[in-house]
Amino acid sequence: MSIKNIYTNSLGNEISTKQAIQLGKYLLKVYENDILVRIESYSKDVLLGTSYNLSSKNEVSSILSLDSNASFQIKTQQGNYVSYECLTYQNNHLIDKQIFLEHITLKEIICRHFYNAETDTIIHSNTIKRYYDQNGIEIYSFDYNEDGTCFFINKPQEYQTDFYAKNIGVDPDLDFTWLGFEYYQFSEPLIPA
Amino acid sequence: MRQRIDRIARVGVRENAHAARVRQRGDKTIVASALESQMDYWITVKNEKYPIGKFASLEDCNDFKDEITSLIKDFGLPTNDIRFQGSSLRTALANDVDIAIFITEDQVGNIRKRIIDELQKEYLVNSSINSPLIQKQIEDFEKTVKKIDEQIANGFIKNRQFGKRNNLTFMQNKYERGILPNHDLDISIIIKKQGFDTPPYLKF
Repeated sequence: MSIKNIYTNSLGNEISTKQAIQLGKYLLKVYENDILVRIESYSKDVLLGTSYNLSSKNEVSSILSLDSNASFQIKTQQGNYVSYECLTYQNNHLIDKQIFLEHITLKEIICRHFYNAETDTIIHSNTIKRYYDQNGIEIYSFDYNEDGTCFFINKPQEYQTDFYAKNIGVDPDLDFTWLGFEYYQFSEPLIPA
Repeated sequence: MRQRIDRIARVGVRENAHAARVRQRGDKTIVASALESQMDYWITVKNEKYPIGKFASLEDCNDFKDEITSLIKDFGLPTNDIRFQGSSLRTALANDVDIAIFITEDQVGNIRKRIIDELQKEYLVNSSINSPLIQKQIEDFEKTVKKIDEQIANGFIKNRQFGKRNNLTFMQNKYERGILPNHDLDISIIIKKQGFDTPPYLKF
């Protein structure tokens, strides 16, 4: 098994070992057979925490028994999508849960769900869904109300063209309709039908 | 036609640049009579000192200015140069009220840093600041930073990038606080002397 270590800054950009020492705060990405298996976070050479990349939840409890402040990314493929469940623990207690859904062909995140870790329910007002065109350009991003209905649609590429979901079908100057965008009308589901 | 040319010369070609830009974007075309009517409307707005189609009075408008300035301040953004711009200055039929927070090139670095710090907080909702970002969070964070930089390169930063307060976006906060409840609002940061620094404006 080959093991490779790569140092990066907090934004994930690769840096040299010397730069990492100078920077004080850095990440160490550990690869086994070219697969990223964990990310260690350091400040002044003190290990702050480790994030483990897993393909199932089976190993979570055994890792937690050794590292009670671990975080995890659990990758699961479902059809044309890959979901990444991100879990953060403190003293063996789950404090944060987020799920990212990636479109395999586009290689873009099309949905981000944040959870209330205690109740294991989605915080809809934190959900972001993004619509990309075939060239991978982000055309719309959608924000949601607490009840999961769409609140606002942003057009990241354009200036002053964002609009409220409440105006869809009401404002005659607005040519957007939910037809073909049904997945984006609500915070749920995570995976498009 | 001669009269129209005289009017444009009198009101100022520069003040019609925004109308020209709207036409360039391809989403609207403006015939000469409509442009003339917009110029008349703008002159009235300028004299009255508020977008007359969106507020009942100057006092009503001033209340709005106080409320939105307070929200902008809560998001840690500069409030020394806020302006009305866009269609609410040119027509009573405008769909929304456009607000721009003007910043100079010198301010861009600090505001970019603040916005990126806010973005990082969005990913670390419940975790401590020392918790390592997980791989997919890092990747998504990097891509979003790239998008912010693209907007900055184009001369603006959209309100979705302002971060969150009380776990709500700027627009969600505007709605929660009941600011300008009967009208839609759009707000962005504009970098002075770049592509979207186009009149007419009405300073707060």
